[in-house]
Amino acid sequence: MSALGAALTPLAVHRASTDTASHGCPHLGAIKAAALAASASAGAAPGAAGAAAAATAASAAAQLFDSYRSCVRYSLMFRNRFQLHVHKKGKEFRAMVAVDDDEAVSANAAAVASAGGGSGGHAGMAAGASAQLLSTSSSASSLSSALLSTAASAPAGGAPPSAADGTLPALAHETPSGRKRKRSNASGVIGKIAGAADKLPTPSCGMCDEIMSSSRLHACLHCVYIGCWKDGHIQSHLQSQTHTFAMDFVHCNIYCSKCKDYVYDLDFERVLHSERSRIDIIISRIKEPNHRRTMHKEWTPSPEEMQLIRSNSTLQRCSGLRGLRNMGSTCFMNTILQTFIHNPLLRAHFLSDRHDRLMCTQKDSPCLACEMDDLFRQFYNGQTSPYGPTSFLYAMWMSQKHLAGYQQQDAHEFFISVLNEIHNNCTGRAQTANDVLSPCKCIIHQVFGGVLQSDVTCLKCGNVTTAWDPILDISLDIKPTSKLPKKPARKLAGAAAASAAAAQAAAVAAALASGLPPPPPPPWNAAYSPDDDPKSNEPYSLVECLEGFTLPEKLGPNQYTCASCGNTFQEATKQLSMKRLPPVLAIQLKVLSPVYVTNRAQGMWLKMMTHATQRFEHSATTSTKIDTFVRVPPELDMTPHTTRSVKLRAKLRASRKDSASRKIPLRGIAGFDTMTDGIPTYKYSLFAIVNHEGKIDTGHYKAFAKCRDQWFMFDDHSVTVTTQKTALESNGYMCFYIHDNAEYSPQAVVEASDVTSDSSES
Amino acid sequence: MDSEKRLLRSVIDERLVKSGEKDKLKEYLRLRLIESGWRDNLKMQCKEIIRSKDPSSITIDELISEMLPKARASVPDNIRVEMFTRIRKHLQESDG
Repeated sequence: MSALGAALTPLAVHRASTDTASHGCPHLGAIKAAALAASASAGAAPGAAGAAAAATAASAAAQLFDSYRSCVRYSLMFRNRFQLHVHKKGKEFRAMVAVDDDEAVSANAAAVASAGGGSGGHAGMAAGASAQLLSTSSSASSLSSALLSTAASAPAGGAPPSAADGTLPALAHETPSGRKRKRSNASGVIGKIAGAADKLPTPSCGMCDEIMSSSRLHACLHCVYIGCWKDGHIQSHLQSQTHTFAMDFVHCNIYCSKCKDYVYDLDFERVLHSERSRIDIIISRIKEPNHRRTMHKEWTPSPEEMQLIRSNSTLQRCSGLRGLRNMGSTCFMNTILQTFIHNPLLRAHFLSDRHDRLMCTQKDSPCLACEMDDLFRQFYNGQTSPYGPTSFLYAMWMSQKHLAGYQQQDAHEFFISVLNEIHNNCTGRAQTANDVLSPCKCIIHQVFGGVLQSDVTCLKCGNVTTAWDPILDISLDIKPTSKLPKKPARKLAGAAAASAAAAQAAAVAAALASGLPPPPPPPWNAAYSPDDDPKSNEPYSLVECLEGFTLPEKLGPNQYTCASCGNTFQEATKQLSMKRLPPVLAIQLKVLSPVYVTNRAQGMWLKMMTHATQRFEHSATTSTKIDTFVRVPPELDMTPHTTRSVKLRAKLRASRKDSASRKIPLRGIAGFDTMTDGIPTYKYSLFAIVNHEGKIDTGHYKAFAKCRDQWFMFDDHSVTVTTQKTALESNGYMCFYIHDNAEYSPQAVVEASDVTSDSSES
Repeated sequence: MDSEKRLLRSVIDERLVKSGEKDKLKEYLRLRLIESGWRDNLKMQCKEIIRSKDPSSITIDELISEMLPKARASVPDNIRVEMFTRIRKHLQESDG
């Protein structure tokens, strides 16, 4: 009962006991309902026969949950084994580069040490499937036996596996107060996990030895069997053994052989979610031992709250989509407002009533945060006719005098002004801005605030001066198309090699294709010529702009005075990197204004001070629009631009120069491989683009934004459904990315309706 | 001959999986396909198929068997070449 109780939530209890058949898979529902009914009757009338029957029914469900959890765990560990493995490699890795910045070397060392001898012992591990899986998985056969023993123990013993369900290792239940003490314990657990991940067997089909790939492996949830889908081995297994459920090994979906389809069940989803966040935490512990995560508190409404919500709300379809009227060259504002509306974090903040315009204390001057709140209300009140954000515009005019008037403004300038105004109107903002690393608690800085590190190295004495700048966005230079061919020699060589390789690749292709069903070999291999080389006509991409941004830059002889060696006109290099990345990364591509090209570090601040001059520049038509198309990727990995990774690379480069003898294979590191190096990954997904068409002062702004996984185009009052491809092909001026991982440490289980879940496409 | 190809294929596959290269290639391929609009396109087609038939009776197998050939054939050629080049490069490097 305890195991089952942990697995089944009140909601599920309600659902399973009322209408099992209507939701999802009836077969799964039946098992859960039987278990519930049995446990309820056993509780009411504790007779010997009743208890036995209840135990069998309960164990059937518990066993299913249990084996699902084991399979998910195996799958996740296997797929993340390189991230986990790095932990072991980390020792030599770190010894060599001697990373000294903010890393807890001691915690790491302890973890590494336990990784070395960890795989043998399993003292700290939880009982049940997980422990058996982790500690005995040194070979394929013992994995099977581990799984088998879990599966077998339940029916044979007649009782659910004791507390096996829901017992995550200690780290998941960690409380902030006991963090210090438990850290060592947790690192020990992590060490064991890393050690075990190292020895995980490669899953393969029990019939044809297909290893996990295109064959879609499935694991049976009733016994120890892994079979491939493509050749029908798992299906025939389920049929011959009269087993019902199997799990897709990669996606962790449950297949029901009676429904002949994949089924969705909230309780299994929860197991999957908890396992996913568990592995996520483990990886972040390995890579970033000092990182603090915010504890996630799940809100379960009480019956009274439930009742209040039900009786006071109406369900609205398609809310959140509304055109904005153009009130005289206000498309710059409309696009930026649309990106705010579709920013999941801002949306969550304002829709959860964190700044209520009725409660706002700021009465004497216009409050932009209230205007945002009102705007969200307008977007979610069920109306679909275009809305004229007059009060927002008026408030903006009142607070930023230079914006008043019917001129076309720069969208990015407006964006920054709005952010600053909202920040000024927010409660809970930092009164003094003396410490850049402990940021303001207002919504704007929580969402957009990052820290840029700039290291100026004196080329004479090697003294490094470090400065931290708070930023709300990144402004990136675009090189005009004419300057594009950066390394023509290398590129040509690459093209030649590629074309040579292509001919051979065709042979491989033919070999591969013959083993696969129908597709007729496409004409690409015959008609291929070096001119079609994908690399040579590849458009300039945002990633390249970012690389340029964090590339060491030589300062002119008059720009720097070294404090250490006192040389006034010393040559120096400046290197920018991201000290802290914000949850929402706003990027401006400098297509419009080459005014501050030379001052990219202070871009934002400079811009704010000099917007008057800048507009003068515009009107004097000294600036031109750069028409280079910049390819904006739908997903962005910011890891290479973090301070830690930039430093690590610099050190590796230096160490490779002076030490000829090296033992560590550096290929992966040199090519900067975020999967296997010891740095946490920062992956972002695109959710909005603002583009600009036409000339500098007469152009038109449009916005693209993702709403419930669907892209829309916002052109003032009109809202049209579009595709991601169209959005990506537009000429972006600003783009907005959201961090894929909400850095929560789950208290219990993370709800499926997580704030960021709708922004991350799986 | 066929069995030889099959063996070769599984050897390559195994090597890619064990070195972790397969995960990287898959991730790269996924990104490239999303960028090219292949994924969007496929999703739309799937939606249409489901709408055109009875949504409650269509199974995943039917959908797969209908979409697989189309999906394979519509992978942009440049991505195809890129992937082969990468696989080839990896195999050559890991040999030495």
